[in-house]
Amino acid sequence: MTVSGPARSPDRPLLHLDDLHTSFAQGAIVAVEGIDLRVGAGESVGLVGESGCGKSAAAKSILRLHDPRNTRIGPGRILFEGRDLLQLSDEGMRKIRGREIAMIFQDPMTALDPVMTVGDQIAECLDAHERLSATARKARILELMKLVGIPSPATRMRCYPHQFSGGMRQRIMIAIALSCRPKLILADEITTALDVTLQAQVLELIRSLRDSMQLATIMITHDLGVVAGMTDRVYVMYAGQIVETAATDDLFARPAMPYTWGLLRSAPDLEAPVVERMVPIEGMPPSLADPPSGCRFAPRCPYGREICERAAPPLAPNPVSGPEHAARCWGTQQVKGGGWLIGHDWRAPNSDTPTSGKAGTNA
Amino acid sequence: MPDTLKVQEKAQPLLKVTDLAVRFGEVRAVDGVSFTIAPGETLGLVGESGSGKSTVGRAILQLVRSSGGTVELDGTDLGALNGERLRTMRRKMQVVFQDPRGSLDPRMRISAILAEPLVIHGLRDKTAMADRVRDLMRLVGLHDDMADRFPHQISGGQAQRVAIGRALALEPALIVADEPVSSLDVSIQAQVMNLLADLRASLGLSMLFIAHDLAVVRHISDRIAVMYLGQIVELAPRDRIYAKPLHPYTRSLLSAVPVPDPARERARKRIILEGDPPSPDNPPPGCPLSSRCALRRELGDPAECEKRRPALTETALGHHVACHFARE
Ligand SMILES: Nc1ncnc2c1ncn2[C@@H]1O[C@H](COP(=O)(O)OP(=O)(O)O)[C@@H](O)[C@H]1O
Ligand SMILES: Nc1ncnc2c1ncn2[C@@H]1O[C@H](COP(=O)(O)OP(=O)(O)O)[C@@H](O)[C@H]1O
Ligand code: SF4
Ligand SMILES: [Mg+2]
Ligand SMILES: [Mg+2]
Repeated sequence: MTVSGPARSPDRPLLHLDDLHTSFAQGAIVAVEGIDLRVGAGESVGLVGESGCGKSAAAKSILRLHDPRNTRIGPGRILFEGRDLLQLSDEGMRKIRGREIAMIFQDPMTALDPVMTVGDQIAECLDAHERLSATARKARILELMKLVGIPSPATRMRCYPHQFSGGMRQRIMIAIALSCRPKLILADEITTALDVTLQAQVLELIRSLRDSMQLATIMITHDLGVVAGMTDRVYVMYAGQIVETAATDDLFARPAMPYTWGLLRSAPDLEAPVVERMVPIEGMPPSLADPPSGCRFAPRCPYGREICERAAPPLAPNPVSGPEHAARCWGTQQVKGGGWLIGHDWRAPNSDTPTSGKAGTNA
Repeated sequence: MPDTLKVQEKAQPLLKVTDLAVRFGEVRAVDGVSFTIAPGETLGLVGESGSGKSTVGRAILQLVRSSGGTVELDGTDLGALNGERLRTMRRKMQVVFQDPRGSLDPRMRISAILAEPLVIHGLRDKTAMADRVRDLMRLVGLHDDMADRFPHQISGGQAQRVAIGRALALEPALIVADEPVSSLDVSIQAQVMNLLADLRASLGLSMLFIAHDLAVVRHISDRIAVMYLGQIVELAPRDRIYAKPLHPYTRSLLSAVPVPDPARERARKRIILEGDPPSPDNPPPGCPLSSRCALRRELGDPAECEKRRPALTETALGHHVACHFARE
């Protein structure tokens, strides 16, 4: 179960992305632009935002999973237990992958090898790092399959990925990720392709494993329901940057800036009253090849003022909630021409007349 | 709600599906499905993937042959028609699919995609055509300057607007929307859902709205049908099904959707469905849910569930449920 109450960002984190940049196509597309993100040991952190905002690009940078020919990671640092992973050789990175940090993807079918039994795939990381006898190896495979809830593991370990359902394949991916007992798991939209009933099963599994194994997790998702139930702290990402970060409870209780408000308003809530019209975020995220020069959310923001298009706001502490809660929005910052959204109740109707009325282009 | 319900049930339905069955070899994809849709009504059809929702939609559109039952549109049995008469009736039903870009021809400009159904149905006049295309674009909220673009030059949400515009070109009475927003971000989903709600109100459209969970269909549906393994297990007016779900499957579906609020989410009781849905070529005997049912487990595994298939029965005005033991 997620801890309640304020979660402070850790002073000596397990992972610290320090001003990380990742770009593609000789720097023409900056998908991750100066991200600062911390994960404490055993902590569960959410990374949330619309598609195309750079969430996967950031996560894959941590394990250096991008095609090196068109990707540049840096400037910035990826500190894991104090060591900068960007300084490691490819050989050094191989020792990190799976053993220290493992990643699980949205689509298990493309991540699994179709011509290898799932048992062998679960043991692949063990085979690379530990010398186990055949009996010990098999025992470990069975133990992992049981752990993630795959029925009759002794026969199923000899089957191939296509012989499993989508939900079972995702369990296999989790077993592979856990096989070398990593300290941190990067879970990239792992339930997005699953039906809600299977999603509930997989999330329950992750929750129990996390508690029993002291795992730290980064849950990457666009679903605020998943964030609410699975995380201690949240980072909201928009157009390659972190635009708001806070303890999960604080983010939902006092979201500071208009993009987060937009995500919250458009998130389906089965317990809320039925409405005539839903509340979308108008327009769509910008292309990362040519992001807006002021606030990146300004073209879609119903609260924007003159300053928003002129200058890019920094990520600064939110005056209402304290230093652990920061937002990238002029409306929340006490500067000349800013500060008009401090303490604003996001549920109240917007009395502000948008000056940047370009939101009209529909997605 | 009960008043409008009476009106809807009295009026002659636009669509009447009776005991529909579709088989693919051993697979009973649709196994005895019945429902009606009134003029102007939206029916939400919900269930996990593989439960047979798309096959119901395709059988209504006469895109797949049914192995039993009837589909009547405006009182006419579509199965009895062929040739020109079937084509005329088919014009009244149009479809919008999940994958907006995949359903648009990548080599055609948006204007040509919207004009295509008009051309096929004999509109020749160039000016009338251009006018109609421009009207359609405005109707679905696309800027005029999009007319000359190709599908890969527009976003997913815009592509879905084009698909909706194309479906509306021939002024259908019924739209089958098969997971039309499932591939879009929730922030963008709301844009498309609002468009569909507006169109329904202004054009008086009927809709079969297919989705894989209960969150998407909630705001737009008048009634909701929940499918499991080829069968409808619960069918009720919208407000009832969310407030008083009766079928154990509906209850687990509802409890599985996370809510965006940490305090409520932590306090929520989940009714977790064990395991995967059974394969439709080998369904459990009796009730389709019997192998995974939480209610049955709670009652100490009564044999009834495996013996007889429960019939869809009306338990309250307009509220139908197929379960031997479900009670309010
Ligand atoms: N290998 C790549 N080459 C070029 N552009 C890429 C590559 N991978 C991702 N991008 C671009 O980077 C941006 C962020 O993508 P991604 O990290 O996948 O977003 P998210 O995971 O938030 O949906 C997108 O604009 C995407 O098109
Ligand atoms: N053309 C087909 N041939 C064989 N089996 C099919 C075909 N179309 C659907 N099925 C099967 O019928 C069942 C119902 O499928 P479908 O209607 O697509 O479900 P849903 O739309 O609810 O996901 C599934 O078991 C599916 O595999
Ligand atoms: S800085 Fe301005 S445009 Fe950006 S989110 Fe805040 S109010 Fe909106
Ligand atoms: Mg991604
Ligand atoms: Mg389908």
